[in-house]
Amino acid sequence: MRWILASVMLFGSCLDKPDCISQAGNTLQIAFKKIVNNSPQADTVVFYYISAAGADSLFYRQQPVDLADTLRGTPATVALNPFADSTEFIFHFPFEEKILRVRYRRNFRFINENCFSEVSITNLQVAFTDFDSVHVVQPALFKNLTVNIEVFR
Amino acid sequence: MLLPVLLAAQPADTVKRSFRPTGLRLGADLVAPVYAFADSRYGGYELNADVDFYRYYLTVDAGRWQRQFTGSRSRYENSGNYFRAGIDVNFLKNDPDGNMLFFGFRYARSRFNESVERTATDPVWGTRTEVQTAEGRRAGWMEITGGLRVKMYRFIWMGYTVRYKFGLHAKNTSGPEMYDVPGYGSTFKPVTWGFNYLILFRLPLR
Repeated sequence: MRWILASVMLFGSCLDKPDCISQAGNTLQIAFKKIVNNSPQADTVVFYYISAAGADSLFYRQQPVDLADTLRGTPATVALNPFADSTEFIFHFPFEEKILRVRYRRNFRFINENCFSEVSITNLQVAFTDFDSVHVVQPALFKNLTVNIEVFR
Repeated sequence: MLLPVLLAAQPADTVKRSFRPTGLRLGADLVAPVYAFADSRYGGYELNADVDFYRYYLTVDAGRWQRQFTGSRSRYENSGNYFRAGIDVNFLKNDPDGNMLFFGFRYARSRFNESVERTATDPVWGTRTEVQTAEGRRAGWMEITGGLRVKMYRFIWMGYTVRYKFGLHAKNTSGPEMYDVPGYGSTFKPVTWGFNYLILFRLPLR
């Protein structure tokens, strides 16, 4: 009996723990689409940069600053604010600005004592936009990037 | 004609089953305080009670459990109460002292709070420390149990219970992802084991 007790004390807390693998991410992918022959196809977009309210960093800013970037069918990749439940992005096109504000649910995940914790972002929704049409196609964000939002201009 | 003879030939030492309880045992788990003393991350206690109905024992356990884990730039805490109720069946039928070798089943419920504090650095959004909490979470699970109860001296009993815990069901509400359920353990394990070493005091009921 004494040895059973001792074993429980010694090893009970060290039994298998979840792997120290982070699956969550805060990188949002936005694909621009256009309708051609009644089917959605990747669109080519030209913009100066994308800014996010509350952040100093600008996405896709070129040097010199008035040089536009062109996405030829590839999705735009931006970072959601992992410390807030919503993020507003402003797309600075040559002749206009468009806003996309998204909200989401954040769940902290404690993995184990040897790991960093992570925040998983799920339930992604469009809170406001002045684009013509926006659809959420993947409401959860993962380390492995996938298109989360499709924008039809 | 033979019927009265057959009736008269029934064994004279047949013991009539009685489902009237003979005693109520109240006790406490000795593993929890030792574990709490040995491991500063854990605190808790557990109280146990059972009452006999022939060879079947109605058993109730209630406990409190709190844990603290510190990870890399993060900290997890939980605290809550749990209880279990079930039946043990004694397989030592004719022991004069009523010692038990038993197997049984429990259903358990837990109500608890959890919180995760984390400091994170994001290349765009900077560094921040946040706390996410969830209060009043509930979870349930089942247990198959086995063990011994031995009369040590007059009304003092000791024994142990081995628990095979399974079937955890819980609703992940807003807040941090559920990590540790008081009374059950880590939520990522589909089954867990538990062990109690008990001291019990028996109050005779007749």
